Amino acid sequence: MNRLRLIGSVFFLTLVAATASGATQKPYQPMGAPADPKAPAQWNRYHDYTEAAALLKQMAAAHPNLARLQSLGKSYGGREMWLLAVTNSKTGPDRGKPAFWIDGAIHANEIQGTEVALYTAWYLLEMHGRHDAVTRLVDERAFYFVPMMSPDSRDDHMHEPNTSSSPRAGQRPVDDDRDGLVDEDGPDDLDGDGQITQMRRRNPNGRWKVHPKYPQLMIQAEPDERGEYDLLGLEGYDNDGDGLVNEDGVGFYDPNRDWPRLWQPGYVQSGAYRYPFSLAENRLVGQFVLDHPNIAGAQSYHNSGGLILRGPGNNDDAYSAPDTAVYDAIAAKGVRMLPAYDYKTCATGLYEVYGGEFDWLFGMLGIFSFTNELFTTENYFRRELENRNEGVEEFDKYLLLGQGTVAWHEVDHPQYGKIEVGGKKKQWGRQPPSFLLEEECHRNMAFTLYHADQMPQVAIQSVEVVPKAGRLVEVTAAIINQKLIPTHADIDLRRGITPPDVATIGGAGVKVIAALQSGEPLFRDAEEQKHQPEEVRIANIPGMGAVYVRWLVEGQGPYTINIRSIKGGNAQVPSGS
Amino acid sequence: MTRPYLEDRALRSTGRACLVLALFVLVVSSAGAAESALDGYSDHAAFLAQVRELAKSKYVARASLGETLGGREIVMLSIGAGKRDEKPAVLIVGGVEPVRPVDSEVALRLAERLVKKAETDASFRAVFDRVTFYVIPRPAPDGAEAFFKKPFRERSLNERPIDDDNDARIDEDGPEDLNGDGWITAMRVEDAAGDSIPHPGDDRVMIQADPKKGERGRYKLYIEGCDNDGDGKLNEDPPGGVAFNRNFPHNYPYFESGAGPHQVSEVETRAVADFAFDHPNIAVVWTLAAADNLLEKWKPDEAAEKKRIKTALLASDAPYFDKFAEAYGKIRDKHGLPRPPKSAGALADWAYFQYGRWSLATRAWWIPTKAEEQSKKESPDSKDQGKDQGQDAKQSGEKDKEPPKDERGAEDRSGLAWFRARGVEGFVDWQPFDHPDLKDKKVEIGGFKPFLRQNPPAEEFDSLAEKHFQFLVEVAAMLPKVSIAEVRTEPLGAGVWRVTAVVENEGVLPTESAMGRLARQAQNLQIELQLPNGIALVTGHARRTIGPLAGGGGQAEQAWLVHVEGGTTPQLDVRVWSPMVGSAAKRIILR
Repeated sequence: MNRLRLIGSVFFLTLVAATASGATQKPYQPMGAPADPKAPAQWNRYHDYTEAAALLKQMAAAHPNLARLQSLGKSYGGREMWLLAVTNSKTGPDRGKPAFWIDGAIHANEIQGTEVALYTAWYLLEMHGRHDAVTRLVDERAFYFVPMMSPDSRDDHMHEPNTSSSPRAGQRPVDDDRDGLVDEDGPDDLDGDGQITQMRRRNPNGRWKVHPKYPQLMIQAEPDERGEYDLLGLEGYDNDGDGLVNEDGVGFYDPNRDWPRLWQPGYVQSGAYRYPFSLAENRLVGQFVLDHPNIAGAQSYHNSGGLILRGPGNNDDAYSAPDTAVYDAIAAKGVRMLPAYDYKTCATGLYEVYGGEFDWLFGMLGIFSFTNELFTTENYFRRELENRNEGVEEFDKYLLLGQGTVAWHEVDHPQYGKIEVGGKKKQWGRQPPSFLLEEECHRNMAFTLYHADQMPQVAIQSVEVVPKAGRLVEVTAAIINQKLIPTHADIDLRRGITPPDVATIGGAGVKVIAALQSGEPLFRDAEEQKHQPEEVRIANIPGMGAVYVRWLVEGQGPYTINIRSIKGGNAQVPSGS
Repeated sequence: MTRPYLEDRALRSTGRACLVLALFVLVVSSAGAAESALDGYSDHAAFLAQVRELAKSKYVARASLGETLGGREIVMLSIGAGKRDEKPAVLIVGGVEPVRPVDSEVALRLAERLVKKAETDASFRAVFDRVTFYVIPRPAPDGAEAFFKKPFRERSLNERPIDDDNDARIDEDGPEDLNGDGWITAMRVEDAAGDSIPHPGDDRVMIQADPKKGERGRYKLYIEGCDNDGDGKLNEDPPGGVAFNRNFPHNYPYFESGAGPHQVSEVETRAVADFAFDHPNIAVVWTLAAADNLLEKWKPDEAAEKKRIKTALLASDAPYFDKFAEAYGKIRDKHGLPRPPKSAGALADWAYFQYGRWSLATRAWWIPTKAEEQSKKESPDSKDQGKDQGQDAKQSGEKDKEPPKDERGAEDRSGLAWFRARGVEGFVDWQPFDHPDLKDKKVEIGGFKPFLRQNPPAEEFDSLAEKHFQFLVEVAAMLPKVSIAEVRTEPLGAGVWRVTAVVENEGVLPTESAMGRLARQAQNLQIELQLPNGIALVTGHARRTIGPLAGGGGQAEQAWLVHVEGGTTPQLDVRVWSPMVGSAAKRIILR
C-alpha cells in the first residue's frame, strides 16, 4: 500500500517533469542507478564539505519518510558532523531495526571514502520503491551514514596545496617537534600551483636520474653510473629557522589511532592523540554508536590498495573460530564483487595498529566490521602492474593524457637557491580518476549491502501447543535467525557486551509454570530458567540457526509469543497481536 | 549461561574486601540532608565555601574544569605567584577514590597551607618564584557525596547509569539498608555451600575456610540488600557508575566493573587529563590514592623494560623515586599501611607511563599499628610479597619450614582494636534478620560500617596536612633548575667567533625522566642565541633542542659560529628554557 503510493508519486513527478520538457515517454532506465533520481547527483566527481552537506540535505528533503539528517555536533574547525539515517519510518523507527554503519574518509585525504558512502545512501533512497531488494533492506533495516569523518581536513585537502597523502590528520595544532611552537613548519607551495610536489636539485654527484621513457619519473642511478640530481623531499623550506624542513606541519595525529580498544599512546602507536576519543569528531561518532546498540554491521572506507580488511588490528587481540567464520563468509563474497581486492586481517596481513576504529567496533561492541582500502593500481590496465611506478606513468601518459603530473620546472628556493619542483598532483595516485570513480562506488556499495543483508534477523518459525495432564500445557516455539550473522558475536558473548535476546509468552489467563530452552528441537540439552520463566533469556541465536523455547503454562491460550533481539530485530506471533 | 543462585558479589574479609565494596556498592540517593558518615568532613557545598574563602588570596586563582553528571563543579586551584602557568609545576590530585574523603580534605589543606605560609612567611615566597602548585582536591565530586547521604555506602563510582549485569535493565538492583540503621553493611548467611567461617579468635570477623586445616565453610557473605528485580541475584546492578581511578588509559581494565564504557569516558577524568595536557609546565603529579608507590615502591623489571609497552618503572628512573621515597619516609612510616591494591586504569600510573611525568602516589591516612606489633607480624621474608595470603603461606613455608602465620582476618581485627582504642563505633554487631529473599536461611546483618576504616576522625586533619606539607616543600626543592654555567667566546679571525654555551642542571631531578623522554609528551629544552643586527650566523641555527640534562649538575653545551660586522656592538643573548624546567638567560659580550 505504502509502496504503491510511493511509486505513484514517483510516477507523477516523472510525468510532470516529462510533460514540462515536452517529451511524453519515461526515460530509459539502465541497470544500476536510476536515470531520473529525485535528488540529482553526479558520481564521477568529488564533493567538498559544502557540496556534500548540500547533497545530504537534498537527499533528506527528497525522501522525508526514508531519510533523517542530523548533526552529531561540530568538528574542531566548526563544521557539522553530518549523520544521515536511512530507513522506512513507516515500517518502524530506526532504533527498533538492526542497523548498518557506514563511514568514510576518517583520513581526509582518502576522499573517495566519502563518495562511496554518499552514493550508497543515495542509491538506497532512490531505489527504494523501484526495486524489491533495496525496498526490503530499507524497510527492514536501518543505515547510518557519516560520509565525512574529518570534514575540516577534507576541505583542506581540496582547497589548499596538498599531496595525495595530505592531510591525514585533522586540523588541531600539534607540536610535532616539541619545541614549543605549533605547526610552524609545514610544506610550502613554492610555485603557487595549489599542489605540493617534489623538489629536485641538479648535482653532478647526485644519485638520482630521469627515467629514460617517462621524464617525470625519477629513478636511482645504477651503482656504477653517475647520477644527475638530489631529491630534496616535499615542496617546502625551513619556516622557523631551526635547520629542519617541513618538520611540523598541520597535525600530526592520526584519527584512526584514537579508538578505545587496544589504544596505546604515541610512544607505542604513532599518531595517537591524548587518549581514546580525545578527538571531538570521533567522540561524537562514538557516542552515537554507543547510544545505538542496534548497530550490527559496519563498514569504513579508506584508500588505497584494494583491500577488504578486518580486525584484529593488533596481535594483542585474537578473534575466535566462530567469529572468523562469519567474517570469512562475508568477505568471500566481497572479493568476487570487488575484482583485484584482497581480503586480509589487518594485524597479520597489513600492519599492526593500536586504536583503530574496527577494533573498537568489534572488540568492544561486537559489531562485525570491515575497512575497505579503496582503489588499486590493478584498475589501470585490469591486471597487476609489472612495474608499479612505470605502470602509473604509463596510465598517466595514455589514459590521463599526462594530466596527472606537474612537469618539472625551476623555482627560487629561499634556502636552496635555484631548484626544480614537479611530480604527481594530489588528485592522482590514491584517488580514482572521474571515469573509474562511479564503478568504485557501486561495487563497494554492493559489498556493504550484502553484509547489511546478512545482519541477524529473528523470526518465530513455529509454535507447537501440546496439552499435558490436568490444566498444564506445553508451548514450544522455534525461534530462528534467518541470516548469516549471529545475534551475538562470540566475542560479544565472551565479553558480556549485548544483553541476551528475550522470548516472552503472554495471553489472557496464561500463567507460566516453568521455562526451558534448547539448542536442538528434541530438548536433549534443555536448560531450565529458574527465575522469571515468562521472559526467557537467550544468550545467542546463531547465524542460520535456531533456539527452541518451551514453556509449561496454565491457561488455554491463545498465546502471544514475542522475541526481542537488540541486534536481530523483533518478531511476534500472532503477528497482528 | 545461567549463574548459580546467589553466588554473585559475595564479600569476605580479605585484604580486598573493601575494594570490592568500594567498586560495587553505591548509595541510594536521597534528598541531601546535612548528614555525614564522620563529623568534620566537608560535603560539596562546604567544600565550595572553603574554596571561595581560599580564592580570596592573591596567591590563588580558581578555575572550574567542568561540571559532573550530578551538576557539581570540578575545582582546580592554581597556587603561586606571578605568571603561574610559566613556571614548573606540581599537580596535586586528592580524592581520586572518593571512598576516602580524607584524601580530599588533606589536598585542600595543603592548598590552604601553601597560601597561608606565603602570606605570613616572606622567606617561603621564594618557592613561589620558582614553582607553581595546581591542586584538584575533589576531582570526583559526585562519588564523594556518598559520605554525606544516608544510608551510607562506600562507593567510588559516579552517577553514570551502567547495566552491570547486562540484562538491559539499568541500575535496577542495588543494596538496601534492611535493618534501618543508616549503614549499608553486610549479610552473613548460614549455608553449607558457603566458604566462610567466623574467625576462631573473634566471631565478628569472617574469614575464608581453609580445607587444608580441616575447616569447612558455613557461611555465604553478601552486601546488605534484596533481590529487587527477581532474577535470583542480590544487589547485582546498583546505581552507577564509573570509578575515576579506573578510567585512565594505562593498563585500562577493559570490561571490568567501574571501568566505564571506555578510557577517559567521564567528565571528571577528561577534565583532569585535559588540564594536564594543557599545562606543559607540570613536572610532578602527586595523587592521593590507595595504591601507594613511595612506601611500597614501584620496582624496575628487566624483562618488562624490554617490551614495547612499558609496565614497570624504568630502571634509570628508580634512583629518583628512591629520593622521593626518602623524603616521604621522613614524614610517614609504613606500619599498618594496607597492601596497595593492584591498580588498573589509575591516574598515577597514567601520569608516569603515558603523560611522562614524575608520578607520586600516597595514601593520606590508614589505621596505624604500633611499630613493634608490625615487626612481630612481618617476617623479613614475607614483607614484600604483595599478593594474597595463600601465596605468602607457600613462599615463607618453603623458606624457613616454619608453619606459616595465619593472617586471615588480621586487618579486620586490627581495625576492631583501633575502633575500641579510639572509641569509634565502627562495627555493627551481627543481628538475625528475616530476609524476604532468603526465607529458609539464617541471615544476620552486621559488619564494618562503610568509610570508618578508611577515614580518620577529623581532628587528625591538621597534623596530616602539616606532614604532607613538609613533604611537598621537599618535592618542590628537588625540581630541576637550569642555569647557563659558562660561556666561551673564541675569536677565529676576520670577525668570526665561536660562541659556546654550557647549560647546567643544578636540581636534584634530571630535566626529564627516562619514561618522559620515551613518552614524548613534554616539550624539549630549547636553547637560542639571540642575534642583534649586524651579527649573523655563519652556519647552523639560532635555536636548537638541547639536553635532557642529568640531575645534580648535568651539563650540555651548544656552539655557534657567528660573524660580527665591523662597527657593531658585539653583544648577544643566550636563553635556555622549557615549560617543565623553567628558564635561564645570559648576556655575552664578544671581546
